Amino acid sequence: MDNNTLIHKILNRNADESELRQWHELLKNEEFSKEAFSFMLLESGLSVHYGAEFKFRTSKTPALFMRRRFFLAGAAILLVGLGIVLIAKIFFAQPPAAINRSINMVPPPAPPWQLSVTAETIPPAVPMPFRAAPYNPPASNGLGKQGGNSEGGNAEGETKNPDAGLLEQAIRIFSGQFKFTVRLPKNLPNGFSFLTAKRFPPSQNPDKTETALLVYINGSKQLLIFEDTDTKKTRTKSKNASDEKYWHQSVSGELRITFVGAGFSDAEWRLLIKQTIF
Amino acid sequence: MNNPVQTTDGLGESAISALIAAQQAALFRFVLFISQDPSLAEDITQETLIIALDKLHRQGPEGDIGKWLRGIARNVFRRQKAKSRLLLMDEETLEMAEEFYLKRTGGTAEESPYMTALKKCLQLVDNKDREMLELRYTQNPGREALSQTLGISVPALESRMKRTKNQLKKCVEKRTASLNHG
Repeated sequence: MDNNTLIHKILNRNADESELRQWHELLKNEEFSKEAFSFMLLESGLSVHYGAEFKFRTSKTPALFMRRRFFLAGAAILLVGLGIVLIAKIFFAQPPAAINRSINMVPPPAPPWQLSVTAETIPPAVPMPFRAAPYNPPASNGLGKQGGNSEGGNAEGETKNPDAGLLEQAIRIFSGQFKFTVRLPKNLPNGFSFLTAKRFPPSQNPDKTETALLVYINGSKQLLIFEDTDTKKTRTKSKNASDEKYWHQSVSGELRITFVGAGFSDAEWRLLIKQTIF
Repeated sequence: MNNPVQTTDGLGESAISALIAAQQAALFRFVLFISQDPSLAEDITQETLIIALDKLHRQGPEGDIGKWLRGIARNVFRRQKAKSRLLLMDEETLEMAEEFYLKRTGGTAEESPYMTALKKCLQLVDNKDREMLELRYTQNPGREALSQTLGISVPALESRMKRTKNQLKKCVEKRTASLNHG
C-alpha cells in the first residue's frame, strides 16, 4: 500500500490495527509526516468549511462538566448504597441468637428446616404457666377406664429443668381419663411456637408414641399434628378441626389434651409437654 | 498573531468571556486538526476551556493566550489518548503537528490564508465531487449510505474521494506556497 492510500485509509477511519501501527511508525519520518499533516489539515479545513464549529456551552451546562457532575453524583449515590448494604450485611450476618441477646428483639420466623439448630440458640423462654389438673385417684385398682372428672384428671408430674427455653414436663398418668391443661402465654412471640405432647406407653409397646404437635406461626396460626408411630400416619388438623378424643384448643389460648377411650385407660402413660419457642 | 495577556491577577467575568469568545474558534480548529474527529474536538475544546476558565479566575496567563490554551488542549488530548487507541497522534508527533499547523494557518482566530485558499479551490472542483464532499462533511452518513445516495459503489466512492482530496490538497498548497515556505 502506498503512503497516500494509507493516509486516506487512516483519515477515513478505515484502517486496521496493523495499518494504524504503520501510520504511527511512518509519522516519525519527516517527509511522510508533512504529507500526513497536509491531509489532516485539509480534513479539518473541510470540516470547518462545511460547518463544524465550536460553541462554548455556558458554564452552567457544559457537557463535560455536567457529565462529570452526574458521574460524581452517581458515584456518591452508589457508594452510599454500597455502604448501607455493607452495614446491613455485617449487622444481619450475626446469628439470630446473638441479635436477640444484644438488642432483645423478636427474632424473625425461622424456616422449618432450621428448627433443630435454632432450638439451641433461642433466648430463655418465658416460663409457661403449666398446670396439671388435679387427679382423682381411681376408685378401686387404679386401672381400667375411669369415670373420673375430666376437669380433674389424675396426674403425677415430674418436672425437668427448663433448659434454654425448652420446657419439658413429663407427667405420669396412671390410668383413666385425663385432661391436661396448658395455659399458653397470651402474647406469643412472633415466630414459631411448638407445643409437643407425647404419650409413651412404657410397658406394652415402648416404641409406640403419639405426638401432638401444636404449631404457632407468628403467634396466631395454629396447626395440630398427630403422629402415630404405629401407623406412621400423620394427621394434620387445622385450628378449627375437632378431634375431641385427643385434644381441644380453646380460643383463649389454652390447650387441653384429653385422652379418653379404650386404648388409653389401662396403662401407665407419660405425657411429655415440650414447648419450644423460636 | 499573538494575544498577549498582561495581567497576572485573576480576571473578571467579562474579561474572561471576551477572551474565551476570541479564542475558542481557533482553539477548536487546532484541536480538530490533531484529533480529526469533530465530536472529540468539541469535547476536548470544552474541557480545555473549563480548565482555562478556572485558571483565569485565579490567575491570568502570561504571554500568548493561544499558545497557553493549546498547551492545555494538548494535555487534555493526551488524557483522551489514553482512553482511545484511535487517536492519531502520540507525544512526539503532537508537537510536530502543532508546529506544522501554526506554520500553515498562523493559529489565529481570524480566517487563515489556508482556509481562504481552500474555499477558492473548492470552487474549482467538479460539481459532483463538491456535492460528494458536502454530503460527507455536513451529514457524515457513512460510506455505504453515501455511496447509495450518489449511486456508486463503495470502492468507487473511496476512489473518487481520494482523487478529489488529492486534487484539493495540491490546489491549496499551490495557493499557499509562499506561506508554506515562509
